[in-house]
Amino acid sequence: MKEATEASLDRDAELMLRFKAGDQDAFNALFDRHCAPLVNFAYRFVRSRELAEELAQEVFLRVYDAASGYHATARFTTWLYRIATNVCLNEMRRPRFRVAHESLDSRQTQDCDAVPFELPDKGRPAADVLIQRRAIADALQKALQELPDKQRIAFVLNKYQELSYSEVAEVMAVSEKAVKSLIHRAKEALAATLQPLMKELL
Amino acid sequence: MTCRETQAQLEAFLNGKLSGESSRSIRRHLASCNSCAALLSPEDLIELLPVLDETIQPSAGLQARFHARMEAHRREQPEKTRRTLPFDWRALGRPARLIGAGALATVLVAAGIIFEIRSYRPYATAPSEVEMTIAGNLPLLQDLRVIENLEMLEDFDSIDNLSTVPGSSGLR
Repeated sequence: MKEATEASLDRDAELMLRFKAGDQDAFNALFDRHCAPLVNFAYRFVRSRELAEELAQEVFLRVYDAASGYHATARFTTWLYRIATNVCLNEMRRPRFRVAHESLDSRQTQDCDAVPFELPDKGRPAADVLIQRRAIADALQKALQELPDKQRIAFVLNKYQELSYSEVAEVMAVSEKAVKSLIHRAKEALAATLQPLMKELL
Repeated sequence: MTCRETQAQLEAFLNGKLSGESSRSIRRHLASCNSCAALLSPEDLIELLPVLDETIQPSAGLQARFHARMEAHRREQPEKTRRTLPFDWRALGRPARLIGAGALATVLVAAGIIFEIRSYRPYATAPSEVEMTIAGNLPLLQDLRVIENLEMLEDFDSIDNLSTVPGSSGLR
């Protein structure tokens, strides 16, 4: 009964409970809803589309396996990103990732359909603005890689995956105060590297 | 989203209270509105980065690849379970085998009990010669204890002698 009430507040949790009851379409719907965000989440860590897609699949397989023990006691996305964070960190700690990561540094921007967000209020950006954005995106990726793991996770979850501090705290199993501190330090470090580039653009 | 709406929620946004669509709308507005962006501190300009950063579109075949992988995973699961079990306990659930195993266990336990009973020897014989010899020598053992005590007393005597060396004041 408790599960049903909570699920009504969270569409994803409702889908997960339907899948737990045997509805395969509900799982497919979850995949459709979260595939792109998960691939992008993994991409912030591994900087390779291919590997990011592999990791996103790994996350969904774990969701699939864990369905029988799932309880809608927290938001589905919190649970999902906790799995995703573990999968990404595990991958980054593997020696083969470290070796591959070094070789990817030289070609990190070659994903041909990796595009910057369009800014809707400014119309179509001029070519020089696009070039500047590309420079910022590259510099940002590099700066993100240099952050300590916890700072990077907190920053990406809050700024890219759009989780609130309390949700990030739940994913990382730390206090909200700790999350605030991690994000503050991440912002300081990123600002030191990226502010000159951003001032040119804004 | 308007400037007024953005500015009304700016503090909550910067304090990480917003999530999902509400934080996305504010971030996008800030990235496209110079007057609102001017309200941000240099550090908070970092808030705009995700809007300026690139995003990845999953490749077209990803869903199909995942379904194939999931199917393989699903087929693998029961095999894995079978392989990891050291003994097929499910076989015991079958009544005929369960009865057979029970009967065999009963026979083995009964045979064990009978063997134990037949090999049991009560302590009914007289003490052996060695046991008698030890018992007979007990007084002698007590005498040995006395001799040890005497040696100790001799030690006391030597201490006493030390204390009576001429010129000494005896025991201190």
